[in-house]
Amino acid sequence: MKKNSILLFIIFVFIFNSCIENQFSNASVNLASGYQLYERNCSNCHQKDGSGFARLYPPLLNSDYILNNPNMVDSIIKHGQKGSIKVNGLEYNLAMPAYSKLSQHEVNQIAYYVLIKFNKLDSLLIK
Amino acid sequence: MKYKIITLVLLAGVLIACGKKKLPILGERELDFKMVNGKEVVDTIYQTVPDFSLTNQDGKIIDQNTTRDKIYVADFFFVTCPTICPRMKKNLLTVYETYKGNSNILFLSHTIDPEHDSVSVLKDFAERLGADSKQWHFLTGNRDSIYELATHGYYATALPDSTEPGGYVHSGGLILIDKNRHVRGIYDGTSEKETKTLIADMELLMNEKE
Repeated sequence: MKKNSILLFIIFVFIFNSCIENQFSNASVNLASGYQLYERNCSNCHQKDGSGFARLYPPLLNSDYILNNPNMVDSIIKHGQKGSIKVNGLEYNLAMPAYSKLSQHEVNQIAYYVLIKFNKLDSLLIK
Repeated sequence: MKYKIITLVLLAGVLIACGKKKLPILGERELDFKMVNGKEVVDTIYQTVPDFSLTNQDGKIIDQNTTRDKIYVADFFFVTCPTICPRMKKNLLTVYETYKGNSNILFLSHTIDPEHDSVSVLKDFAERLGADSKQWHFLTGNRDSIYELATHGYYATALPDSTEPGGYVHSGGLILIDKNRHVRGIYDGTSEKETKTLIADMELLMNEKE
């Protein structure tokens, strides 16, 4: 009886671990490709670490704008951004072009990277 | 005896290292043959940056008189450029911060999209970058004159290209000009390493004797 429950426990731990691993490796695949896409498309202006540059390109790192409008990230990448916005108390108004050549999947990967890596919004799942 | 030779070699090495490197003068040159006191004398004439007249972010005319007796760094960019310009501007800002307040050094950033980059757009851009209009001029003007100046004055590329993000193709060069309007160096403005070389070369140029 005891032996059986130990065996069951081991099997359970094994299955549980493989599930976690699976989930983790999926997330890291997303983050890795999100990182590559971010480097290629966004880091020139917003910088590699997401800190932004001068009062020209707003920070994506710990950004109150993103925390308050997490769903806007996806939309801004796709459609661009025009007009004045306020990020962490500073006003920015340089237009950002629409990245219309990116696929929806690629846009999601970048948004995922920006939300999780720069704003720790792990709880928000991207469709 | 051996030691003497080694000492000599070392001494020569030190002397060579101390001897200041002189920056080359880039561009075409012509030889001018003249007769002086019955003797033929050869003069080398180096290409210079041609006369220009453009408007800065304050609406002030900037021309060759503004840059007279100054060392300056020139570059070509446009405000809405999403590719190399932000990297160039970040590196150029480092150079600017190094020489901020130095009245012998100027910065001339030319827009290659003058239709969009008006005086007021450039004013806003400069202020957001943190650049002072007395030392760092953001220039707009006639499109053809700017392209001509880029290509023939500074050996830079500037062309409209609809296949490029932003609509223009242009070189990311930071161009170093001396007090005699000679191009003395072109550095990749997207590279931090080359930006450091630019600063080192500006030091050499400032210490250069006429």
